[in-house]
Amino acid sequence: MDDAELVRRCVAGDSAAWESIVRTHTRRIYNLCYRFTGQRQEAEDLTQEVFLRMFRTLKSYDPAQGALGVWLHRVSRNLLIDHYRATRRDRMTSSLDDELTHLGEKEAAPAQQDRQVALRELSATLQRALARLSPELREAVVLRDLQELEYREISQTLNIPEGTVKSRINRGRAELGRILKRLPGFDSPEGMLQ
Amino acid sequence: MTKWNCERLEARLDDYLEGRLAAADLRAADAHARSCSRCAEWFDARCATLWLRRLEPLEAPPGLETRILAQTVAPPPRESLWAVLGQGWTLVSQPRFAFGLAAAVFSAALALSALDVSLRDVRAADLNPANIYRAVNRQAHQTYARGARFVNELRLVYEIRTRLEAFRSDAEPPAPQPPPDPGPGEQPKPDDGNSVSGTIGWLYAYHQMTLVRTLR
Repeated sequence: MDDAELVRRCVAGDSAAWESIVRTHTRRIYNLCYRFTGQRQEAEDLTQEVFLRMFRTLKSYDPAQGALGVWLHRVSRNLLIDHYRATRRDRMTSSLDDELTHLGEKEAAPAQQDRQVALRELSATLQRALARLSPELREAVVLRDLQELEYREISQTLNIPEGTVKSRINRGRAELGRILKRLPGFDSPEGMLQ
Repeated sequence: MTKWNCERLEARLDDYLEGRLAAADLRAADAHARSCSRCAEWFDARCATLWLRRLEPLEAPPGLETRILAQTVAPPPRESLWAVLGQGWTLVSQPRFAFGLAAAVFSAALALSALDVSLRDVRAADLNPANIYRAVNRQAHQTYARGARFVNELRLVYEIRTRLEAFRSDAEPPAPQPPPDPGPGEQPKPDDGNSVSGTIGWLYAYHQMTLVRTLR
């Protein structure tokens, strides 16, 4: 069933169609919210808010504007930007030095850890580094490298030209790389390179 | 293989960062970017991309989908009045409920009977708080008086009081009379049973008898 048909059935009151949409997209939207906020509880609340907003505005979905996933990303992105602006004052209390000190402590953990723990550590550290990027660069990097959207889809989501999308992604990656290479464990990438 | 330099790297930057080059080209491009101050930022960007792509997507918290569906799916249709009444009857018709109700009615009747309250005689004025207070006060005094009368009329209490009165009258000093001089050889009379020691002895004997009855 294509997106247009699925949405048409939802609007007609088919709860099974709506449940299918929720189950298909919840994980991706939760990941997007978490990578943007860095807080699990906030991400959970925002994910619920995204689907509430989507449920209320489902009639406005236009298949000609892109896939349902792209539209859902756009709804999420708008909500995340609103949330970012609303919580800006709280975030300004933490300094870069504090965060980098915290990052270093996390990476100084024993090297021999099981895979799950190592991945959790990596995720937390990258999350903190991502939080140092400006919202414009962060959303571009997250949409490309974590949500794995195509340039065209990101362009539709952010409503900016593809050239700008590429530029933001590459600048975001370079900025993130600069932050990461100051941290123990991220300064020698030989294991990752071919 | 052509040597990699700054111009070539910038021309193929997207392919380089996305890892879409052949393995040999990637190695050569990495070598150049790492050693070139102008291209160093692209080497950092490539490392960041590789780190990010190592991350696995997080699992959504358990129950999140269910909560979303609970908030977004329309509430169930309202039940009809007959359905609600039917559910109420099902609850009331259970034996446990009937026994509980019967016990409550019996307890209430018992309490009303003990308080000497007749529901037939209840009037609107009786529900006035002042009247309720007066009635409860009167009832309490009457109950106390009945209890006191019951205790006073007990045979044991009656006998004990009678004996105590006798004891009190015996203990009172007799009217002053000049003591007669005892004649020579005249001895004091033995106890005739009306003296203090006789009363205490009688009470002791009664107590012993009651105790024996109780033990039997």
